[in-house]
Amino acid sequence: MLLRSWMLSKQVWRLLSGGLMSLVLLASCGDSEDIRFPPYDNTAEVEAFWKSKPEFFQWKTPADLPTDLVWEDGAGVPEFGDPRALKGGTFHDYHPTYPPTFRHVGPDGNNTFRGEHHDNITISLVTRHPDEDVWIPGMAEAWAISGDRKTVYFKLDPAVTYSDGVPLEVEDFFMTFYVMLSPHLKDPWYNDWYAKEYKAITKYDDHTFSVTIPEPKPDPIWYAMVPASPQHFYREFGVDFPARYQWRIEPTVGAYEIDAERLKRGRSITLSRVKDWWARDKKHYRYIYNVDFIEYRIIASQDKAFEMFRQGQLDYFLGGLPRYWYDKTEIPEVYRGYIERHVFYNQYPQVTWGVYLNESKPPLDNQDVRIGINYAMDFKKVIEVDFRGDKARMQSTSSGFGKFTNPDVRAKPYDPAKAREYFAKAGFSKAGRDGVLVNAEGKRLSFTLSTFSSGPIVPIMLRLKEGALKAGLEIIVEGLDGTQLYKKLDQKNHELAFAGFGAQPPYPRYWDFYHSDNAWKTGKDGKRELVTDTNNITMTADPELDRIIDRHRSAKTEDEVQELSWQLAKLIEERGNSIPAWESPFYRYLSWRWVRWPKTGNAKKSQLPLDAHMFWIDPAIKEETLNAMEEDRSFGEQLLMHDDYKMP
Amino acid sequence: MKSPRSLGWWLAGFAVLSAVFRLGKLTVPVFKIPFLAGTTVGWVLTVLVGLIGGWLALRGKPKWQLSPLTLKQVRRFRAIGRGHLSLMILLGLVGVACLDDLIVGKRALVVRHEGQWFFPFITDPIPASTFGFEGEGEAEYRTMKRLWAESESSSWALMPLVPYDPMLDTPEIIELLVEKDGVVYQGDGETPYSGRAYTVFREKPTQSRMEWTFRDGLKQGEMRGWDIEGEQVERDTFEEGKSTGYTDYSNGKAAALTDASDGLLRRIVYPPAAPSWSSRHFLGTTSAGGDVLAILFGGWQQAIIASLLFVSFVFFVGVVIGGTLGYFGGLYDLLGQRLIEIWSVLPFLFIVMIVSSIIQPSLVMLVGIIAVFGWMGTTIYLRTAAYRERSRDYVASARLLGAGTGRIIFKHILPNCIAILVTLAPFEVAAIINSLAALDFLGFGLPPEDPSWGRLLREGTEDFNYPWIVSSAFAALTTVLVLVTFVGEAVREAFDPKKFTTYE
Repeated sequence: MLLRSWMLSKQVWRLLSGGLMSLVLLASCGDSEDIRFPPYDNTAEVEAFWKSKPEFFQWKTPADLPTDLVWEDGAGVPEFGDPRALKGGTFHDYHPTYPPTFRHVGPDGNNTFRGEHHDNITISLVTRHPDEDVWIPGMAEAWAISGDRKTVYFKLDPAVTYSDGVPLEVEDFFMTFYVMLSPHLKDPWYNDWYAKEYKAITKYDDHTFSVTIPEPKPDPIWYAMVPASPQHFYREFGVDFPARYQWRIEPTVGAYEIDAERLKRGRSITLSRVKDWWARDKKHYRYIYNVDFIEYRIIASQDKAFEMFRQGQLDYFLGGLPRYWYDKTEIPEVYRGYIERHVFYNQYPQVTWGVYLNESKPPLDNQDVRIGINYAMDFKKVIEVDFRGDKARMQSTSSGFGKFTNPDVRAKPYDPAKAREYFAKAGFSKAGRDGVLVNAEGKRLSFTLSTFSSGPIVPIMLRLKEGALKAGLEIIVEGLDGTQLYKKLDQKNHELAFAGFGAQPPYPRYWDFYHSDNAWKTGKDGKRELVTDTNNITMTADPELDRIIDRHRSAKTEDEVQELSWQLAKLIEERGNSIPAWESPFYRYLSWRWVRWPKTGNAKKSQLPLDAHMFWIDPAIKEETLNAMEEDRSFGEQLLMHDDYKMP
Repeated sequence: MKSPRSLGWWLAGFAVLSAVFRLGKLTVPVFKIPFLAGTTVGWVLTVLVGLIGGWLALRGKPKWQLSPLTLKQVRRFRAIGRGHLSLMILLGLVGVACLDDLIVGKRALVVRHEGQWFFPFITDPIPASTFGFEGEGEAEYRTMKRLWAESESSSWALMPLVPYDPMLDTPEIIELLVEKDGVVYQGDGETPYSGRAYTVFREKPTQSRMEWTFRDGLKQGEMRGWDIEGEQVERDTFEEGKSTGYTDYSNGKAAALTDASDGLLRRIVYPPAAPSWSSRHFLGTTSAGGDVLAILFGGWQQAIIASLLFVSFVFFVGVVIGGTLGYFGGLYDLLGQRLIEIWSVLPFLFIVMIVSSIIQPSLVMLVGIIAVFGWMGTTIYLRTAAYRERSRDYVASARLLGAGTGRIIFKHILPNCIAILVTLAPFEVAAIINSLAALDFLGFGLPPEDPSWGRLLREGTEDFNYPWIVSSAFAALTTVLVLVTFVGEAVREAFDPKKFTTYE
């Protein structure tokens, strides 16, 4: 959770900016019988919308299906999870804030609680195997890719029902496009994505349909697996969507839904396992989603949460920071083995923590200055001291993408002498009274580094500042509130920024971060203008890079993607505008003894311990542990290293 | 300072020395004080002090001529032992704070190298190459001193009492481990070591050669080995001191590196480190590795500057606005009072929070914000006093004698209001120190690298595993506040016109 709260993503921003509003709404609106929202039926609108785009929404017959399709159903794929898993019990966890909404789209929808009640729960059309690079059935029991790799065909599993018992229909996917393309959604990102990345959706019969994307992709399934939007739930979707759906709980095809009866507004949220869940006996789902209830208490202070964990009121605690992992675990509960410590080596794209240099702010447009700054960042000491050597230096900002990560790209080590060499090349050769380098015009080598004011980030930045000063570089650390920082980066007003972007499989993304389309545009009067609100916070604009990025974006095979990814990683490293900070090949957590985890520890491709829902609670062990605590009996200290998936 | 004339000589001398040191590019403690707020302000202040000093020295009275009332008040203050002693201690602490780099700082006081004398604490930064070390960056005197001592060199350096800066100075503490009969002990040679330990290359001490994890003095878990370029060349796992799975990634080259290190096991003492006489961290370090005593010292300097600025601002505004409100009265008074009332109910904390989330306030700015919301109390007191004094008979007789408004205000009313200002001053000082600490504690205060008691207090309360942090900050804050309050009470009592007050 800590990891997430650090992340510079829309999540953080939205969560923060939504805080006040949700309070107001909490007070004013409660039930769906709110007089502000009279019953509404959008059936006619939806059908008219579908009709208005006959190219996009198509209805055909099974006879229209191509005959040469090779249907896959993931039959030979190994199982995952642990057959020993027991069903039942309540798992107690915490969350730092109460979510501003239960919607997963629209304003504030992308908040930090979204993963807990939506992303990690829902079952998509096809699902990525948590340990292997293969697809497994989800809502679709079979799928096929067209010869031109632009269309993916799905056969829905007839058993799929929503948590309220309503069966899944093909039109629910059509509904997704209606919702996501609608201006009423008040969420431009989704509007843009669904307008640009999809070309058509076609129904063949009640269980068969296809999704077409505009450009062929190495693996079009990543794009084609659109979520389902239950039509009966979105019947009232209209102008007032954000307010009307603020606290409505969407029926899910996943294993858990927010339990309205156990909900304590502002204090706790409980997810309960769907009764007679359609996938409970399916091959790939029978050993996961084991507990009956997951209770998230809202606890703002991590220290308080740790104390509650220690008392056994919480079952699990994510121990990322050394403070919790080392200092606070010197307690009898750990020595006696009531609380077990786990270290799990995962394989997941890394959050790209790093210092990003804005090339549009001189003298950061000078490559020598940028390279000098690279050498002036003492991340070695940060890793050694602040993280006690538990993290490793990230070598490139596309780390953790497996074969798509270029292993030859290395981050520049801390070397004040080399940094001074590069600064001298750029004209900064004389040291001033305060030790900061000055150029011939008397301009000091001083930059503002914007970052979050929260968490342990600011002390780490101060350590960088101390090291940079030895290389003659002054950094002014500016700790900002998340909203302010996000705004500043969006407006490209920063000089240096310390931030991290959560990356997602399958491939590293370069267009968003380094393409000139996201840096400059030609304004009405023919002048160059800044493009705001994009992820290109380095303001990289290089025609040569652009060409490769365009090819990377439209690459048709994985080999091509790999080759271009490697090239791009190398070129970006040479530009020196993104200074990778640290990464962690593992995550670590503490859990009470009765929380059991699979033999391998967890899912290989999980980002955080709970993502894959592979754990279970063993009541017999719980009783044994509680008895042992009363009798002061020890099980011996447990430090469980799960390094099956450790990369060499 | 027995007479205004001698005071004048002192002031003039101070101004001249300040100017001389400034022109000579030397930052000498005490004499650099006028220049703390920048060059222009510094010169204005220096010239001003010089002129006042000169005038006093030449034209000042040969003897202090204090009114009997003032003398009586001073006598009464001296008689209150607790208050008097507190004031002496406070003044002493202010004096200590003025010594600055002379007692707390990472720059050496005196360096003797190759027959030359250096005084790094008052001069521009001296590059390390001057002393025969590598690099153009500033010399690190602590390291130099240690290396010179180890190599029994003829060069030497004298460090200040606390050899650490209050900000941006977080050196690593590296401890050598002791190996006895196959068991590794901490530096004291008694406690079996648990944790990570490493060896370094002899030629490149910044590069680790091998690193092990120890449990109760025995190797346990993973070992990693690197070559001099920092590429991992080998790994191993240990079970109770015994190797269980060695892998060489470099086709046998790792074996050749065995002699590349000096074989000494080192460990990094992770901050916060407990108080230690040997590392000269007399009050330990913070969780970032900064020296607690140095930070307390820096925080105390900040507190003094903040108090001076705050009290000057509040008194100036109080005298101007309060005095005129009370003296002129009428509609002006009525409107003024209402405005003050409205201003008083603005949620001060929220405004500070909003401001500091948008910009990073500096000390002056922060004091400014607090002062803008903190001047009303003094003003109301001053208004009351002026209102009362102006209807007194002596004011009426002065007016009858033809005195103008200015004369009445400055010669008659203000001197009679001074008792109020003097009495309020200590409490205003306590208020600003408290407010600054509170804002820093909440995270809305000074820039993050600035030394601050509030931040120290917060760091300490976040984790009670390191009691030296919270206890130092708490002790410093309470001591100063208690002393200031004692002084305030004594002043109030000394200025009370009634010697004995009985409450009915």
